[in-house]
Amino acid sequence: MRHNRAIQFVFAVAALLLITFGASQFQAAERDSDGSLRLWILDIGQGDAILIDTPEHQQILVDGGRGAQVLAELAKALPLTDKELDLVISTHNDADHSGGLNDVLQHYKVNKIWLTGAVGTTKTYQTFVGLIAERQIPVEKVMAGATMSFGSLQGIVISPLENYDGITPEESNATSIVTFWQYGAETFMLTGDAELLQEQAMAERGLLRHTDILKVSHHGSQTATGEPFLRLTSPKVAAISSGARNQYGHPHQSVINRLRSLNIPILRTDQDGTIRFSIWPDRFSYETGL
Amino acid sequence: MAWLTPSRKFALTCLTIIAGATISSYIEIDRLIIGWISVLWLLVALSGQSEPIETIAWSLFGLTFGAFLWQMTAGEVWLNLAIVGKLADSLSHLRDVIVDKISFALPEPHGSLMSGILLGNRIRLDRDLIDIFRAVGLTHIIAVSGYNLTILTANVTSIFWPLIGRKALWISAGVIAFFVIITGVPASILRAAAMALTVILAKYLGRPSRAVNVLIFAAAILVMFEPKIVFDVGFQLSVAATYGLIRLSPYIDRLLARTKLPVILRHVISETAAAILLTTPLIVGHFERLSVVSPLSNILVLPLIPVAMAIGLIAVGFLLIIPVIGNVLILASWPLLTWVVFISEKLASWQFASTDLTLPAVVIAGLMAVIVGSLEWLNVRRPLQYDLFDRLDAEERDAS
Repeated sequence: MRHNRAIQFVFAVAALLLITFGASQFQAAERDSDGSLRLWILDIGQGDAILIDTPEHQQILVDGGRGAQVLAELAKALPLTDKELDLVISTHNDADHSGGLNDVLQHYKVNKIWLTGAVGTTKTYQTFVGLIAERQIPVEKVMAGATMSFGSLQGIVISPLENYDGITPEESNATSIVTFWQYGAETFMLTGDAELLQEQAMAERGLLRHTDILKVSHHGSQTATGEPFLRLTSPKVAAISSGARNQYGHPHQSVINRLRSLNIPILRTDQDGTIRFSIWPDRFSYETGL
Repeated sequence: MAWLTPSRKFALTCLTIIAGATISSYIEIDRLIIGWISVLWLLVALSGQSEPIETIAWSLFGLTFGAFLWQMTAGEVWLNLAIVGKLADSLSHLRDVIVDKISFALPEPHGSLMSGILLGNRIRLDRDLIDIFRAVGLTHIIAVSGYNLTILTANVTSIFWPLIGRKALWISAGVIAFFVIITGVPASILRAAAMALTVILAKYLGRPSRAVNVLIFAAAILVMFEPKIVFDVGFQLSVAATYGLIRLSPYIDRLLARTKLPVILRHVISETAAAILLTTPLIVGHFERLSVVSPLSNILVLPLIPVAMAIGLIAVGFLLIIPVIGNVLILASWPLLTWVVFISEKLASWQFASTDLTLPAVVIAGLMAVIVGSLEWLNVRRPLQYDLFDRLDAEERDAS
């Protein structure tokens, strides 16, 4: 009788495992069905958290939003048994970009971290540094020129143009890592919180090229995304990551107007929820509200 | 005076100690005088008087002793638990390691939910999810509480009882002690542990487990160590829930016996409903909030929690020793945790999930008095006993 109950428990566990792996396989099959590279602009409230998921199942996370919300969003985007990220890029030390990375480091095996080396002043930053040391995660300090490739996805850092390693910057946004990515003929740019000055500097160096998908800088703040920048990059679609009813009034109406006047379609996480771009070497499509 | 058995007299004394401490918190009495009066009544009670004088003497001793305790301690805890705390510090590292292992093995929010269910660790849980649990009346599953410890006691006992008999209770006691320490000896868990241990003690001594008397005894011990506990929300809730379990659930269970529900489901429903009914007035009184969907959410979720706990405990054991197996095994909890989150989110999204409600303290107290009074009356008229271990035995018989 007692054995019966033990056997029942073993069977129950086996059945539950079967359900789990079934769900996991289903997720994986869904993900592989179209062979696309996926770019997720995760809806994590006010902040940035962007996931690149290649067809070869390599994952790059760019920023993690402010808090633990990013974890639930990542769980939706990744198969439930996948707890590994190949690269995490911390664009700069503001809490609405790097805060959630602390939670990510506590829940995911991170193989490498990119950051500028700029020193932060907040407790969040201290925790971040502590976690990296504790978990012995390889760190690479980057500035413009750093490149990486994951299969046929190529990425290059185009800002900051200065080395911020060990420096406490006056203006944290200025240190934002801006990355430009190419997958086949398709391109996308992730701008962090880079401001007009950085846009100008990149333009002067001739670093700006046509970009199919633009992650609008600084949640649509008016201190970035100037008209010259938009004309040089001529994006086919602009995605804004901002929280609903945020206290900063992001995205700013002037930025919206600028994008509209150039006929650039706008996607917003505060209205559309999580945005997922499916990118093939010759085209892309997107879905919202995931 | 036939109904005044020695154990009832003892329970009455315990009850008057609690009452004495409570009353004494509102008035100031000279501690020397109240102490002397207390000793005098104790002498009267021990001097072999005839009934009902002896009982009255015991009651008055209880009242004055409770009052004396409050006056001496001003309600503060007087037992120094620093030593246990030191032990907890060294074990907290183990706790961190466990939480870490779970976090890396399960996606979110499942991982945090699992560590919450196992260790009462809700720090990492998403704030939104905690709010959702609050709205549907399920926060107790993510806090190691009397509920967790009761389940743990029951499960451990039912596993080991057939193998080693009465000694199984020692294992239960050991597991409870381990949990108390690994969770960092917070007051709430100490309380829950005192309750669980008292039940075990009563069972070990082989007394006919008059559960309400045991409950009163446990409550009195806690009040004696820390008189101000009578005003603590957690204490009130756990006493009320346990009382509901003991007194009310057998009646609901009998009502449901006519339906064709499976036995286990019937138990879960009757226990949940009883606990909810007894705690609802207190929750409204303290939090001014009424969770309308709480009965439904609890019935849909609670039966799965012990299974999730069992899987979690076994998986954590493997995670610490053979991580490869643990990492796979813990995934068996994924469908269960997904269900918990899904149900909570669905129910919380209903407009009428919870509503604000404020009632004056007098009404709350009156309501509680009416409920307890009618349950006691019911118990006198048609007694039905609840005993966790008898129930386990009965389930055994049903199954075989």
